[in-house]
Amino acid sequence: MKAHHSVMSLAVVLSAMTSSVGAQGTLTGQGFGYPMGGLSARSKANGAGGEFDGQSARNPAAVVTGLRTGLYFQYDPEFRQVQQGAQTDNNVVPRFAALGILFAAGERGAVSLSTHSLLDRTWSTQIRSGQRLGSDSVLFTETNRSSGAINETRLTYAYAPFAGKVAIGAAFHLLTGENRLRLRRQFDDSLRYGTLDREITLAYSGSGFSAGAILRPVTWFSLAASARRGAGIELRVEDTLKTSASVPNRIGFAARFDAIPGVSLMASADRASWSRLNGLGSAAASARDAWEYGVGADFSAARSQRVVNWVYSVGYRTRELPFAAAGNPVDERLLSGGLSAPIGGGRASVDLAVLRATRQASGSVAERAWQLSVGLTVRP
Amino acid sequence: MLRAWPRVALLATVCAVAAGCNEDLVGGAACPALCPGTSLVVTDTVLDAVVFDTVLTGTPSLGGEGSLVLSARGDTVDTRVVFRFDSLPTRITRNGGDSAITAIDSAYLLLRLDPAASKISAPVRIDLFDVDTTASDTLTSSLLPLFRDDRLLGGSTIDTNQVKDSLRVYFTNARLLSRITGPGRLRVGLRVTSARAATLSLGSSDNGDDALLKFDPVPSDTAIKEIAVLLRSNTPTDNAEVRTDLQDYMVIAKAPPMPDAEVLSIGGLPARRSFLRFVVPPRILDSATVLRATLLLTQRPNRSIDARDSVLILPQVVTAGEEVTDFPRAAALLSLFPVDTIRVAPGDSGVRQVEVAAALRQWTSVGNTFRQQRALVIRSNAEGQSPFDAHFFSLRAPAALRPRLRVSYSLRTSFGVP
Repeated sequence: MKAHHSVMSLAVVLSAMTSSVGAQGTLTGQGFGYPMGGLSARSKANGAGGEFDGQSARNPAAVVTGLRTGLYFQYDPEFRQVQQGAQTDNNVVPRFAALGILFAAGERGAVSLSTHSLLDRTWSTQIRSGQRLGSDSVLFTETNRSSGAINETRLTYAYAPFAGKVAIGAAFHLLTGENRLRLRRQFDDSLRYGTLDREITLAYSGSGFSAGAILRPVTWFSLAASARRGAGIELRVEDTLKTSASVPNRIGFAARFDAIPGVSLMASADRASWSRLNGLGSAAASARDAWEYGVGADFSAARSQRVVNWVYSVGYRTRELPFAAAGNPVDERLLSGGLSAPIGGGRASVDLAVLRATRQASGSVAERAWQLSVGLTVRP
Repeated sequence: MLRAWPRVALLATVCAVAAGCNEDLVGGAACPALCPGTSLVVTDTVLDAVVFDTVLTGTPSLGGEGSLVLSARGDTVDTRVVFRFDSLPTRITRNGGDSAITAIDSAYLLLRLDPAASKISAPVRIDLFDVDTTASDTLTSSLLPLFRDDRLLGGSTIDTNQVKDSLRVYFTNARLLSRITGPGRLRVGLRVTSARAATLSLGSSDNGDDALLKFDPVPSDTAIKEIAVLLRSNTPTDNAEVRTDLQDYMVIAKAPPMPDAEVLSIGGLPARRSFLRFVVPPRILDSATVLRATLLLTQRPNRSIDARDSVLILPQVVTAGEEVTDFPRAAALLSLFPVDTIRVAPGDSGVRQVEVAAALRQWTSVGNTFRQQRALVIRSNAEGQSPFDAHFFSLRAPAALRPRLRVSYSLRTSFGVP
């Protein structure tokens, strides 16, 4: 073989006019994805109860409060509308948000193993564009698709001494997950021009620890606080270590007022240092630390003298999303409502939440979504 | 009523959950505003990737022609056609009895004709000759002397308006009868003559368009209808496939000379096809996605015959493995479909582009478990059926005129990291 046969290399490097491989196309799909928040369906409904809720992935101490041995499953589809000028996309994004199991450990202890979606990176875009190939300009349709998430698996132990007036807990967090991406560029004349079809899997692995406490000094008032300390996180492409960074730290506070019979009022604040992820991706995926504030209420109402109360909830949350869209910070507001109902004679319960999300960033893109959250708990 | 609404809410939620299971992610309205990222890099390179080329003849084989060209174009082209009827009927059943054929009438050869591929601009004369010989009648040198007057079996004149889907060429009855009552077989050669250039495209048994020999075996009895005799070849006795091929075949009495070595010849008579072997860098074949690959061939005008007419060029991938070192054999093992088609006029010149991306995609090491040759055969769509011959400069030509390969590719670099 003659050494590459004296390549008459024009080696003209061309780039597509509009194509990109990070083409998320939504405000929520930027960077490493949409932060799911780690809230259970019930906490999504009341907006601020995550620190007191053992099914949420926030306060490890909460797993010991009010729960018996059981299995928990949560499904969070989103019906999203993205609008830019006269163009509108309507999408349906199914998300499996959480799966967990809880065991009682002695009279005052509990062990929980759960996995929650931390950053969901599910999107797909399709664009029409063109490029020069050889001597011709050719049109193509390019489809970018991403699915998968960084998930947070948590092993928790919690203990509630002093007749339940205090609960403390600690958890080990394992962050795993994949983003499965596919890029397909098909030219209009697919016989003459080859179709670019690539698939790649990004794999994540990281860890962290968290601890939390819940204090109930009086029956009508509770305080909760928790914190997570992140260790390292690695990004591998096809088993090759690509980048590494740190798992975001998190700290959260919440207060609950139960002074009015049948009514619980809650408020919470939560801060995540997402910027610790910087370096895991490119500079374009730079994350910023974000606050989340929530207020909400649960209303209990007995349906009969035999059956446990149904709980109705309303809430409001506002938060900053960690990844900017085209350099502009994205804020999200969530107005929520829902109910929790026992079924099967108390052996199971279903939690429903409906959320109206409005996301804003500077620029012409507007994003609104209906989120549905369904949690199912089974207690054998 | 108050107690019913939670149930309604539950039902609505169930419906919404069901709707939420139907994933619909495709968007793009916010692109390119929200679609920043790394641009896909496409590299455009021209390679001297053709490392070997040659011109091959012998396809189609004698008797394997898809159609039979009967042509007379002055000093340029002269082709003849031979039909074998190696088993002639000598007896017929008549009035319940068996009787010998002693007289015939209305004997003719019924030929299928492709009017689209036939070209005559003046009346043509088709003469039928007895080309039966004990010598090897597949050799041109043995056959051509047999097209002489004392072997004339008949003939017909065809006017331009008679070029339809079939034609009849009549025998002299007595001469055909002598073949029936004599050796019992007929090998008839056809020659066309005309005041102007003439080409008739006759049907071939390879395409199921068999010629038929027809005659009235009892002219005195109108109740006996004409009989049809099918093509049949009894030789060679040791090869059934060749024997079948030789039921009808074409003989080239005169054709333009073979071009020089500087040229890749595609088409012509006898039919020629060009074999090109490639070496493409592995970084393109194995580490990139080939979006476009164009074989750049520089055409040298061939104005010897019908310079302004056109011929369809078909590049086909050689499917033979690397162990097949016999080029003619490798050139016969081709992909079913061409990777491209281009139409050229033999008299034109300039660079022609043949799209071969599909071939490069087959040549990757990953998918090439059978060690398929990285080679193309370029042939004419009317191979062996047309004298049109397109010429392209070969590797023996000056460097600027040689075949080249232009490739647009995208390296398989990682993507998707935000």
